[in-house]
Amino acid sequence: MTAAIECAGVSKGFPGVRALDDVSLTVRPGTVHALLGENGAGKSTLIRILTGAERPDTGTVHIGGVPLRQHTPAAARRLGVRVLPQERHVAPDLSVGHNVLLDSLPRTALRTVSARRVQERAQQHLDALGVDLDARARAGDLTAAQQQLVELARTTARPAAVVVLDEPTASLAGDEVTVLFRVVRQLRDAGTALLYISHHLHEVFALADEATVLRNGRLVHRTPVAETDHDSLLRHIFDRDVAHVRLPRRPLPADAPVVLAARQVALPGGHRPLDVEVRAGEVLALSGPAGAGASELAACLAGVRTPAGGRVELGGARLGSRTAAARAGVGFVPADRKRDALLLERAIAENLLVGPAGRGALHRPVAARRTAWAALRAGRVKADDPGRPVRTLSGGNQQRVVFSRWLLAECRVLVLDQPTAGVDVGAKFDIYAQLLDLAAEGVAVVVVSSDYEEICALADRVLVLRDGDLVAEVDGAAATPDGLFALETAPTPEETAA
Amino acid sequence: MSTPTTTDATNPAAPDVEAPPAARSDRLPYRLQFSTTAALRTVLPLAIAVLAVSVYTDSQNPAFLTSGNVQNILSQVAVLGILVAGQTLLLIGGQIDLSVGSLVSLVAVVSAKLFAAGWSDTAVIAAALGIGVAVGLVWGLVVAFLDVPPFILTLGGLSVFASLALVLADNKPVPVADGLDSWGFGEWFGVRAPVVLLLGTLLVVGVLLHLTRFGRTTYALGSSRATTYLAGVPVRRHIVALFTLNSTLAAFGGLVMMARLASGDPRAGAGLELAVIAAAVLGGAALSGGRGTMVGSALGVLVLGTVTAALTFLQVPGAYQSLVSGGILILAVVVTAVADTRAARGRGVPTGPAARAAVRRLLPSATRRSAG
Repeated sequence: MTAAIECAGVSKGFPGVRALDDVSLTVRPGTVHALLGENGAGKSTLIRILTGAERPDTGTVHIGGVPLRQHTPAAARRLGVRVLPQERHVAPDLSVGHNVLLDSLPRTALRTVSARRVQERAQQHLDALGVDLDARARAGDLTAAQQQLVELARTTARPAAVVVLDEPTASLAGDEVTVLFRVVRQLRDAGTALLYISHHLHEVFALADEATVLRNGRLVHRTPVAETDHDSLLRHIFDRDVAHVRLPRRPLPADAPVVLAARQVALPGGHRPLDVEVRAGEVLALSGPAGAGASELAACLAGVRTPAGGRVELGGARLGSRTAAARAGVGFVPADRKRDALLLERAIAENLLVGPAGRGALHRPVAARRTAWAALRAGRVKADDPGRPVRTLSGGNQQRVVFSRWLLAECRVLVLDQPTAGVDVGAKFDIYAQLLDLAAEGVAVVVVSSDYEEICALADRVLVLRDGDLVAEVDGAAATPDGLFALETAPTPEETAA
Repeated sequence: MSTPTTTDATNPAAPDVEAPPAARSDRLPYRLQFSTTAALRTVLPLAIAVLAVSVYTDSQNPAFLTSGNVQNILSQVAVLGILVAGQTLLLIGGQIDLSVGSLVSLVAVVSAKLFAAGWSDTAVIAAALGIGVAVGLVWGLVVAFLDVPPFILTLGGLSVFASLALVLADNKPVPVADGLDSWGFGEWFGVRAPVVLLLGTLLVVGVLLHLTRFGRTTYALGSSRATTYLAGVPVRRHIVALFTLNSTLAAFGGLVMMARLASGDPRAGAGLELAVIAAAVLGGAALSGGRGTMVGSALGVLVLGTVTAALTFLQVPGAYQSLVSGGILILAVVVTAVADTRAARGRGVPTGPAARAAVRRLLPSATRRSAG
């Protein structure tokens, strides 16, 4: 029987990173294949290659026995590859029906689209999937989970040879997960090959026939699910033989004052408001999958977002707007560096001096240049001219420019969202060292991260969040990557009670 | 690349070199700032264009490059230039105001009426600038806090003010006896008053843009509003300030217009907004924000002024004038776009150092040959 997906010896490198190293993967039609691994293990890159979004450096991809020659999404689609992406892409102002049939609208003889036929066809499809949605409803009015189901319906609107599901349960709750599982089984029984990416091992045991584990871009384990167990998979995902690195640090003084505190802050989706205190010199990590509320909590702590309930206090006073927070010494390093943290086309010096870092009403170019030079050296930025546009720097150096901005501003609190995303391994540890230096000087550091090793290397204390609730508080010295993983994916008390 | 040269710190092939040694990084590198070279790329062609047009016209008609005529040209673009100064700031901040031309007409009419009612110079100036501040505050507050696109909002303002001016003036120019006579026809420091007002405005706003934190924040805002906000800049307040400054300058332009014409002409500013944007864009400002310089914008004004005057001197029929200035604008933006596309395609291989490295590779071989 021809394999539905056949990757042979696929490798892919990005500057500074070997994302995939000689990975081979075979998925037979009519089976569910689970793809497992930590964040950054290479799962996303493999999916991007399978779906034509990325071209492999070496290796071949066959879909249903046909080689994928042109590495474009269109070519992959022609061969029958469909993806349910991790992020939702729903046109909010179109109806559910139009969203479901977005890429396969039924046409009349005149090549026009009849709204009535779209609704009929979409409703038929939704009913067949067992999704309880009205095709005439406006997609933007649906909940996040319902939108995810609309996307699922779109992914399956046409018969597909291969369906890739990238963390499909991330924004789904109990009932919708049941719907998803039913759809997955329907597709499997109809002969579709499914590649199922998930962090939740119990889903893998419920659905998958086979499992493949990636670690650091290499395929480390492949097994029929029936012949393995939970612990064995975990062991392969996190190589327990390699002890994780914990960076040395000065112990936190017992009398370190609380600098920043969240009091009774309610996060979206959460059941209980939470209290968080950050002390001077402490590195607090917020861990949790996307949508768990870690980024939202960080945004509240930095004054970017006003919490729905409760308040954030800096040194006892209520934190106002982002501007007031920045002036009071709360630095913020957003997750999307290019869009939210940098002025890409402007000079490095200007990027350093935007905000409270640029003191005084006057701008003296020569003095600014000298300040920039000193800041670049203090921040260990590799740049030969602060007058160059910041886009000419590598990702790691760009990130250091953002840090240096807050160093110049002499912040008391630094809130970072995914500080090492898109930064290569060597630069990562430089950044960690820099953060620990800051903490040693008494700056309170809050890090949101989905990289468990990063958290274990850095944090004095870890808060694990899930669906807007605090599920665990772990001492940094006791935290391990697999322990955090287990906390994040274990059923919550609400789920256990139900 | 014929000969493999020794490792060069600025060689683009090895971009991730080690940090410069402390000894070297202590002194500032002896070269032009990157942003300065980038600005020169737009400024130089404009300066050359102005010079070439002037010299050619002067060769045909020697009266062109006389002090009197140069001052004449500058007086004619005085109002345009004052408006461009404000609009440049707005464009760099990622905003736009289309209502400036109509505001000039409105302010000219209102001032003329106030003079007719017997108000003093000071009172009229205060009232006129007050109108500017009020209008700018409205635009700024609506854009900043309601996120209304400024293009549409000020397009509405353009019509409203144009109409108000016509209504107030009863459809015909309001004569002014001697109000602000010195602004229109006086001479200060031996230079005609409108020229002094123009140069003064460009200088003050240029300093504001390039040598104050306000100006740098404006560049940041136009480059990325999200970044600027997250860095802790009060973005909304800054937008309000930009619109207020711009409308106040437009009102000031309205006073100069009234003084120069010695009447409140309700059609005096019609179409001026487009010339203003044309001049700023010609000078390197981008409608998408974050780009532009005051020198560039001033040269943009000068190009439009020189070309218009030259066509008159060369006795080209007036009907052709807009054709030529429009053509220059189209040419300028297309050439800039082509250059930008090229620069974007070559990204990662910065052209400046590559060229320098190439020159350096040539130099030793040349010296070697001369030595040998």
